[in-house]
Parts: sequence; C-alpha cells; structure tokens
Amino acid sequence: MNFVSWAFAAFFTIVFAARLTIGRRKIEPAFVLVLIVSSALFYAWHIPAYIGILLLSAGIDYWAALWLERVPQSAVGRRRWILTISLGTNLGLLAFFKYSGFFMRVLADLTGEDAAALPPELGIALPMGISFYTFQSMSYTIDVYRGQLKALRGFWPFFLFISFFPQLVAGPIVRAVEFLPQMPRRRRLRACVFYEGAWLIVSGFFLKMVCADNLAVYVDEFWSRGAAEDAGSGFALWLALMFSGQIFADFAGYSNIARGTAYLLGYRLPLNFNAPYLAASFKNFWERWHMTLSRWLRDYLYVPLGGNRHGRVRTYVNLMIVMLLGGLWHGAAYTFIVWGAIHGAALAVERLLHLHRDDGWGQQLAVRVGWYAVVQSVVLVAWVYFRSQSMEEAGLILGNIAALQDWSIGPRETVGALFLLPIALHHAYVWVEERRLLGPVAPPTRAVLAAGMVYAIVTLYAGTADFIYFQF
Amino acid sequence: MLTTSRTPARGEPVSPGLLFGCVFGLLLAVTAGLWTMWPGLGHSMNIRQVEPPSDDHYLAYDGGGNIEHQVLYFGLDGEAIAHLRRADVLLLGNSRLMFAARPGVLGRFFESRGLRYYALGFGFREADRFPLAIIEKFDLRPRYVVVNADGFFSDSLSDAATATVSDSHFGAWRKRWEAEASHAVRRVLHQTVPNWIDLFGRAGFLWRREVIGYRSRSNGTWEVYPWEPASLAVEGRDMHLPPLNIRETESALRFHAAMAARGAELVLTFVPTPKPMAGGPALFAELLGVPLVTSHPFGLGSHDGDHLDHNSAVVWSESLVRELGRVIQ
Repeated sequence: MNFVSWAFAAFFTIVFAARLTIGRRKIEPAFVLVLIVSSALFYAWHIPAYIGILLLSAGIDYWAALWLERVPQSAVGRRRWILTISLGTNLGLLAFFKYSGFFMRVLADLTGEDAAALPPELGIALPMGISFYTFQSMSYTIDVYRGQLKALRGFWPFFLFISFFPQLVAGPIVRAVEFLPQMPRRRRLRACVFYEGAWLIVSGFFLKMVCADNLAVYVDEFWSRGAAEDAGSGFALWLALMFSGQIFADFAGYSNIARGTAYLLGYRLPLNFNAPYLAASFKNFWERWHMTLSRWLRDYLYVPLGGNRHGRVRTYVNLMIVMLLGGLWHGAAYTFIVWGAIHGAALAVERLLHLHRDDGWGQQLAVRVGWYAVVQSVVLVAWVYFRSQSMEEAGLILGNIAALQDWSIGPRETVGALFLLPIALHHAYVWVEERRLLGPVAPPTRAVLAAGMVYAIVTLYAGTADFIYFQF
Repeated sequence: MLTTSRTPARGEPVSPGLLFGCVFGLLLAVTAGLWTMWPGLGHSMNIRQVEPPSDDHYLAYDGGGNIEHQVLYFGLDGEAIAHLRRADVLLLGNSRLMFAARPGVLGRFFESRGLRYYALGFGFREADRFPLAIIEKFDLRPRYVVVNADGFFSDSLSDAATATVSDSHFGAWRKRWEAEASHAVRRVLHQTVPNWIDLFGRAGFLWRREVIGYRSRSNGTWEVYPWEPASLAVEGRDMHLPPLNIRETESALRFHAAMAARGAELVLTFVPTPKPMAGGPALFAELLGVPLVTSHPFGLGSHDGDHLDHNSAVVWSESLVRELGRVIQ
C-alpha cells in the first residue's frame, strides 16, 4: 500500500481508531492483533500472494533464532549452519526476485552473447520492500547468533517486528534490539505525542507530494534531454540538482510518514535522514543519509569484514566492498554498482587523506569548506549514475556538465527549482540549529508551518507517483 | 481518547491544534474567496467544471494516474469488453489517434455501413505490442483494423503497458479503485480550493497541463479536459519519409500476419501532428501491400503542440471517413 493513496488514508484511520479505543495503553492483545492483521493487509494490498514470502522469511528466521538458542555456543559448526540457512533463505529470496535477470545480462555480456536472445526475464513482480524486511529479519538472527539478543518465544510478536506496516516497505530498517523492547512497554497517546506524530506525517507528505512529486515531473520529462549533444552545462547541472532534491524529498518524506504513523501507534522508529546535503565529509554524509541502512551495513558487513582493524589497505578494501554491495542492494544495474563504487572510493580516499575526522589539517576552515564542496560534488555525480537508465546516459550528462559551456537556464528551470527551496530552507535551519544559533522549532511555530504545508499539499500536489524506494 | 500531560495554565500559548486549525482555515477561506471573486482566476480548466460526458464513459486518466490500460487489459469493465468483442472495425494508434477519432463522425459513418467500431488506441506513445496483446487475450475477430502508422510498428511496450502486463488482476482492480476514489475526492475538494498547477498549468510546460480523460464503453473513444482551441498550425508532411528500419519492418510484417490470421484487413492512416513524424506511412503501406488512407485538410491546428484540437479532430475524422469509404464496404 502506498502512503500517498486514499486506501492508506482509510486504512490508517481505522488502525488509529483502534489505537484510540482498544489500544489506549498500546499493549492490549486486541490492539496487537489489529497491528499484526493490518500489517499483513497493508502488505497484501500490493500482491496478496506475496504475504507468503514475508511469512517464509519471517518463519525461517524465527525458527533459526529459536534453534540457535538451543545449540550451545561451543557447537560453532552447527550454529554456523543454522545461521547460514537463515541468511541463505533471505539472500536467496533477494537474489531470485531482484538479481536473476541482472546476472543473466552480466553473463551475456561476459560471454559475448546477444542479451536480447536470452530467455525473457522471469516476469515476476518484485515483492515490495523485500530489500528492507529481509535485512531487518537477518539482523535479528545475527544478533541472536552473536548472543546480543534473546530469541522471541512467540511467532506473532516476531512477525509484528518484521511486518510493522509503517516501516515495512521502505524502512527505516529497524533493529530488533530497538523494536522488541518497545513491545511490552505501555505508551498512552498524549497530546504532545499526537502533535509530534502529526508533524512528522504532515512534513513527510509535504516533502513527498509537493517537493518530490513536482521535482519528478521535471526530472522525468527532461532527464534524457540532459544527455543530448546540445544540452548546456547549466541545464545538465540543473537536472542533477533537481534529482538530488527529488530523491531526498521522496525518501525522507517516506521516512517521516513512517516515523509519524508509528509514533501515533506507540512505537518510535529511528531517524533516517538528517539534512545530508550539509555533510562536510563522506563519512558524515553516510551518518546523515539513509542512516539505518549505513548503520546496518556497518554492523553486519563492515565490522565482520574486519572494519579498520587490519591495516589501511584492508580498510579501504572493506569500504569498497561494503559500498559496492550497498549499491547493488539498491538495484540490479551497473549504474547502481558505479554509484556504490564512487561512494566506496570516496570514503577510502577521504580516510587516506585523514579528512574523515575533525582533527589534524582537516580542522582548517579552508580545507573544510573545500572538502565540503568536493563531497557534495561527488555525491551529485553519483546521483547522476543513480538516476540514469544506462552508463552511457550518465556519462553524457556528466560530460555536458564538465564541458562548462552555456550556463544559461530559462524560466522553466527557475520555476522548477522553486520546489528545491523548502529542502534548502530545511537544511539551512538544521545547520543553524546544529550550531545552537537557534533552538528547535517551537510548537506554535510548528502548528503554523504545518498549516502552510497542508495548504500546499492541497493546492500544489502533483499527481501520485510511487516512492522511488518502493522499487528496491 | 487523547490525553494531555497537564492542564494548560492561564496565559499559556494557544494550543497547537487550535492554531493549526485557525491558520489552515484562514488560508482556505482567503483562497476560496479569491478564486470566486478575482476576475479571470477561474477561467482555466479546473476539475469542478469537468463532468463525465455520459454514463457510457468511465474514468481513464486523472491526476497523473492512467488506468485505461488496466481496465482494458484485465477486462475490468464488462460492458467495455463486450463492445470491444463485437467490434467489426478496430482503430489502433497512439494518443494522437485517440484525440483525432471523434465519435459523432465515426459513429454516423460506420452505422451507415452496418459496422460497429471500437477505438483501441492508448496514450503514452503506445505502439503495437499492447493492443496486439489485448486482441489475442480476448480473441478479437474484427473485419478491419485501421492503424495510425505514426510510431506504431516498433515492437515495443510503453512504460504504462509494461507496468500493466506485469500487474495482477487484483493489482489492476486496486489501481482503478484508488484512481476513482482520488478522482471523486478531487472533485469535492476542488469545489473550494483549486490545485494551482491544474488551474494554470506548469511553468515551462506550456502545453503540458494535467488532463482528465474519460473513455467510452461503447466505442472506446476519448473525451478529454481541457481541450482548448488550436494555438499552433499543423503542417503537411511527406508521407514517404523517413526510411524504415529492420525493427519496424519486422514489426509491421508480424502485425500484418497476425491480423490476417484473424481474418482482418489492415488499413493504414496517419494523424497529422506538429511533432516529428516517427514512421513513413506510405512506405509501410507499400511494404505490407495494404491501403493507406491519409488526408490533410486545410487549417488543422493543435492545442498542445502534439495532438489536434477539437475542431481539427472533427475535420480530420470527416476526411478520414471520406477516404475510408473507398476501402471499407
């Protein structure tokens, strides 16, 4: 189910009514049942049969965690086998649904076969949110394997953790240690909680329906023209900036709605975005952009690979591996792999230059400002690969920018760029707030802002487009 | 219900909820007042002025959401499919054909010959594969298939068609339900306040205003809003340009064979457009050995730089049926 749909409006009204009536302390069994059933319904609204895949993934991990607890720590081999079954199932599902077509194309490229002559792709729709819930499910088994978490006795509480509808389709990726302790905790819905949740929801819908969807109209219409021979540098750069705004507003908007709806239902979900275009280092970018994914990759991939504990070269290799896989996680295409490779290489270079920390020569203002420009430029270059349909298209757009010719932009570009303004203002406020020049927005100011945002949603929305991250 | 953590003291700031309601209400009131009173502000299309032309029409497109692909591919509207199955003549092509095919003119012509027609064209630069999939799915057996050759023979699916054929029946039903619910809410909401983009168009997209489209169940033709007067002349074209490529050739031959196997006679046409022509209809007709019925009446115009305006569409339909009369008995 898409948050931006009347089906969701009706659906959430009913679930929220249950929270106000039968779930006033949040822990009532009837309300928990409502959450489980509604989460299943939310997922089945996409393709009903795919609820089976969700149940399969959750069932295997639930069973694996229980089995892991019964096997003593000394039986390392058996424990590894159990973990392998869990991870293999999840990664197998991902590989089957997401990467089989891509690997066939890669194989064709390597063997020189005509890709068009290959058997048609499976023609199976990607289960919505599979990249998110499989990661969430795997983190649970790994935490139990590591002894950091006790396995849940009941299947349905575990299923609720995996399928909790606000974060089911596109995150934030919640770790079991964050979610499970909240389940038995009472949470009454106070007015301040309601206002906080409503603020998150309104700001999320504003980011999505006003900013992202309007930016998408321009990006979708003109992106391929950015690769044309006669496209000027100004136009191509404008397109890249428009997409960087679109993807932020789209994904951060989704995350805000997810956090807001969860909060109204009595659960806190972690922050997923924190003004990423303020980041003055690549490390900091990943502490601000899709924070729950970068945290997952760090804890379940980078650290197990050895992190920075085995020397400099190994650290750089680990960074590259993590970011390449992070790119591949987004989708089965060369462009995503290049996007990951750019970020991996950038993180490695930054570490090599000791610019990932606020000490040494990196403390100098000129260096920090210069490196900020480098970071944001590289992020922008990476977005061009992320959005492009092919490597060739990305290369042509970047070539047009690099040509440094014809910086003129017309009224259309200027008006389109107005939809970037709220994103820029948000970043500016966070910048000021982080330096304690201003405090958090006061509730009355929030109320006025929220009224303005709802008004903008009603009068400036731009059709209904799926969230970008639904395809991942 | 909601509980507050403490009782507000006298002199405390106003409740955020109340403040929100006041500001939002004020914005709505000012907008509604301006919209009603400001001269010329309501002159453009807005959804509150749009009505389905008749009970025969269903929603095909609104607010960025296209659902006619789903409706026809999954047979979500039984009446539309029944008419489609009974059609003796199918009109196929992209949105240019759908704008140009005017039911009043076509209806009179085909009725006079005892034939039933159905316009099975689609927007989004749809080409041959999607209508062929529908023809095969419902085992249609028309006597004539009239194709707007403009970009039709390309063996491709539009994005909308690709999404449709990979969807499920439930997914299609859901999408239609959501689109119709959204349309109904928009019609109520925008009685009070406009969507500024719908009202004035998008800056820089002079001809790309949001359109609302309804489709006839009985003959498949479109009624679209807004459909403003022509602002651009449509020039005549050399029908022998550009050259065919292998993909187009193979696609055309395959499509022709598929129609012949169903006992249908293929007829080609070309709907004039100010946009660059995507295929040379005369060359396709020569290749396939089928009649080409084209005409370019004087004074055709376009309202959006792509499709014919309403008056031009009527004129073109009249000229089409005059030409068709020579090949359709």
